[in-house]
Amino acid sequence: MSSQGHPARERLERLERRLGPRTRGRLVATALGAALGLAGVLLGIALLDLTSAASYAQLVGAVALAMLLGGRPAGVAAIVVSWGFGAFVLEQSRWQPVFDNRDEFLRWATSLAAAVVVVAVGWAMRRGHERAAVAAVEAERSRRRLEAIQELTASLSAAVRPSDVADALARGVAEALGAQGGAFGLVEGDELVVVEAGPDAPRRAVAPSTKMPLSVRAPIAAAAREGRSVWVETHAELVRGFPDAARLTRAVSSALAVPVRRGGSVIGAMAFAFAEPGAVTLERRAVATLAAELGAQALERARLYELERLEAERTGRLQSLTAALAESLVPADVAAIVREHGIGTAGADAVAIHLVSDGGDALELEGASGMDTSSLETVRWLSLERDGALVSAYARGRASFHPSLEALQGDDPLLDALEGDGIVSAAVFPLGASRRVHGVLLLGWRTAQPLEPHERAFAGTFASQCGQALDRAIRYESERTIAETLQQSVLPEALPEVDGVTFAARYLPGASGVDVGGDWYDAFTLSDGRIGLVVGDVVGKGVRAAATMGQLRNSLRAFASEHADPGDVVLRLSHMVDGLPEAPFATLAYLVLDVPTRTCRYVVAGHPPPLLVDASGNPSYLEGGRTLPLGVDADVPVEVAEALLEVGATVVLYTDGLVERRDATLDDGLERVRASAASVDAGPDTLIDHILRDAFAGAEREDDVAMLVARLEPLALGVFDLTLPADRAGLRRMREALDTWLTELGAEADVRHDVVLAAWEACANAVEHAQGPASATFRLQGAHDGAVVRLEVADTGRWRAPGGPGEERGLGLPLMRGLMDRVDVVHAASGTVVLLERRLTPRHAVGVAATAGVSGDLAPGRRGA
Amino acid sequence: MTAEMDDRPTTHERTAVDVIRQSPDVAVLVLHGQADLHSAPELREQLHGVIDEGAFHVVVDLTDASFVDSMTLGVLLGGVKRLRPQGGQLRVVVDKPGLRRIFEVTLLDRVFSLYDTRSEALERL
Repeated sequence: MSSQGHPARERLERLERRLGPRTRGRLVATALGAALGLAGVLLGIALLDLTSAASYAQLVGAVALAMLLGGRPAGVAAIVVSWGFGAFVLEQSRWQPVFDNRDEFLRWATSLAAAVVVVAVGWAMRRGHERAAVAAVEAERSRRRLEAIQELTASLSAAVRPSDVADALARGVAEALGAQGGAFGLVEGDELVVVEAGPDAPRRAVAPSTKMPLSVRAPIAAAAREGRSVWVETHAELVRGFPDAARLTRAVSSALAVPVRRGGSVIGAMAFAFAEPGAVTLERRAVATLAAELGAQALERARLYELERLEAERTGRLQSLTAALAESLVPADVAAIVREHGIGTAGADAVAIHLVSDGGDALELEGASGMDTSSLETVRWLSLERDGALVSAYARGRASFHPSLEALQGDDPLLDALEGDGIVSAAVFPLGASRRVHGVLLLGWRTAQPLEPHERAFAGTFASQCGQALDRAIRYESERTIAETLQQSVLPEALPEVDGVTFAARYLPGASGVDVGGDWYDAFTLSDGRIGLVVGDVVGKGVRAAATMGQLRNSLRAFASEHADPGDVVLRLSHMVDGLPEAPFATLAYLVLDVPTRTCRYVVAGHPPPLLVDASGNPSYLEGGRTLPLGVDADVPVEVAEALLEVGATVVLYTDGLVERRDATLDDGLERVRASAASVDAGPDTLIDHILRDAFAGAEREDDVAMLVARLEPLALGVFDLTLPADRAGLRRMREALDTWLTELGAEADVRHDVVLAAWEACANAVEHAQGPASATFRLQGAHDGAVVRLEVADTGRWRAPGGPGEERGLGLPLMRGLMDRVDVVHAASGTVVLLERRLTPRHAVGVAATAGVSGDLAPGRRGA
Repeated sequence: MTAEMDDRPTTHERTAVDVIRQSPDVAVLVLHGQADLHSAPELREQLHGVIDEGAFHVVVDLTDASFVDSMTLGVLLGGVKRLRPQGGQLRVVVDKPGLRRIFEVTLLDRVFSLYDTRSEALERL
């Protein structure tokens, strides 16, 4: 066994290596050269009796032959043996130097010089030849190694997975080194795991098995253990140094192992086996060390890439899950998506989801996939009373991981379910968000999973996504229920029943069908008999919008009961909205309909204009009364517009959902509705359906829509009933309303004038009597049988003698008597009732003396009372 | 009900009394629109005013009035009572049959002299 070390030793090693393998052959050649030289001399003396000159010539030839065969040492040996022998044996049996004469010595010396020259020249030539050959071989080898290293570098660069890197290292480096085979192993704990290896037989010599303790006496383990290069030059060294590896093969003579490091620590090692001894050259070690560095870098890159890829893949799977979950708005949808995506996204073999039961006392199986229905029987319904992994995860809100099922209690129903389905690893997660747990998620695997931290983290993320979606869905569901309830409670249960008006109303939720909007409508009768119609829109969805809407609706009703003028009502409402925290953006159209007088007064606060369809069926928008949306500027006075509504006219109130479409402008929408209204002659119900159908023909309704339609109908013949406040305004309305009714009855102007004036007198009397609370009212009822109209005026006060400047009063009753066919004043406990009757045909009244003349008694008394 | 509405006169409800002094002796009161109990105080004030200022003959022109009630009649009757001791007259210009009928049915056409036009009413003064 050798190792890297001292420079002097390096030099020695190099010398030894150069001599080493050829030493034996050289000794043989040298001996042969000497033998040849001796044989040549003896042959020359014994057989040929050569002259000394010839003998030396032959000797030189023998030296040349020895040179040829054995190289320089053989040639030198031949010279030493031959010339030494020649110098002493040439004079037979004398064994003394032959140089008895000068010539003899010169010949000997000359031939010796010739032989030396032959040897020198031959050696020089042979050496030059050898050097060239070695250089060529070395150049070829270097080229091949360089190529192999380049190839290795290329394949390492291309390796994107750790297994590619391992393959490149084990095979590519072995090739670059010219090794028989190799192995690449990674340290895992106190073991070394061979992840890639070349052919089995040579591999075993350096790495006896594919998974071995680091303590094994094998080159690869030693390199990994000691963190340095390890090599052996011979099989004997291998046997001595690494008995665990060496006994497995005899074909390996030398071996090299280098550690693979990352950031200072050894993560693994590579080992290579060579058939010939002494193959572990400095260059090979350098190549192997370089390859180990490159390999380590490539491994790190591959590891990062792998992590990134895994992360990206997981992120991608989670994203598609998130996208799918975002669409799910009810818990059942969430469960279905978890079931569908669970296996693919979480990488599990089985998924089951349990939700807490309605009663909150059990977990109910909501869905599963990858599992057999029959094996799920034991966990279909799990009482929270009974302990188990699922119930525990729910109750404690903590996940549990089971790489093996051993940790599960023997009586856990989950154990039966999993074992029955061949699941060997499992994880259980609570499903919910921020302490609200709604159920549990089970993931199961049929192959044992170590469930390492990063896997737990990913599965946890998956469960958390599902839990949040579930929580959202459950909260959404409850909010939607609340919002729906709120909205339904806000929309009037029934529209008022008023003679002379027919109503229709609709509320359509938005297209998604799940978002409750802030649209509303309301219709109510005011204390003076007029009718308030309102359609409004609170921007926003859900409970907040619905709650605001409720507030607006109630406030509007309250303000409307106090303020006759729609402008005042809207101004108050605007003030109220302005004062709300997080003032909502709200618009409305408020219209007060005075049925008897056929008029309406309206305000449109940031709302689309109401549509009026006149009695001839021509629709037009009510463009007046426009003001800002509620709460925008509560100090701007609100202008009220007025419109006349003949019998047969229809007013259509709606919210913007009707006229706003994503694919068209607002004007298009308004025109569509107008055209729709123009194309039909129908009552409110049919009209509303017709408009809705046309408005959304071929398009999906996106927003919610509230609509309220009122149509003025002819008053029921013969019936007139009006209760009015006992004040000046009430009197005026009475006059107008009665005139309208009479007109519709077909009464001529003269008759109308008489009847209205008579009723006025009666009512004025009632108003004068009304004392005390401002809320006093009077009531005018009318009946008609085609020929005669009968009126009845009742007040809550007491019919008293006309007061004030005496002479100016008291003409009322005579006037009534003069105008009407019959006048009766009846005193009742609740007040006074005046009955008036009059034929509908004009007549010339026969005067009834109201005054007896111009003489003194101008103050009429009570008559007929 | 509401004070707001009461204070909010609208055009067709407006009542006004215009006073035209023809001569120191003769005053013309022109009534517009609804001459009812609500406008009666103003009419009374103007009527008494011109009489107190010495108008001997008063012509009340109802040509432009659309509605006349008993309270207005009462005020006019009160005017007659004030003029009578001085021998003055109160003449009423009324052209609408409906309004004329009011005077007829109350027999006030016998108390006031009714004329169809203002010029007729002023003619013989």
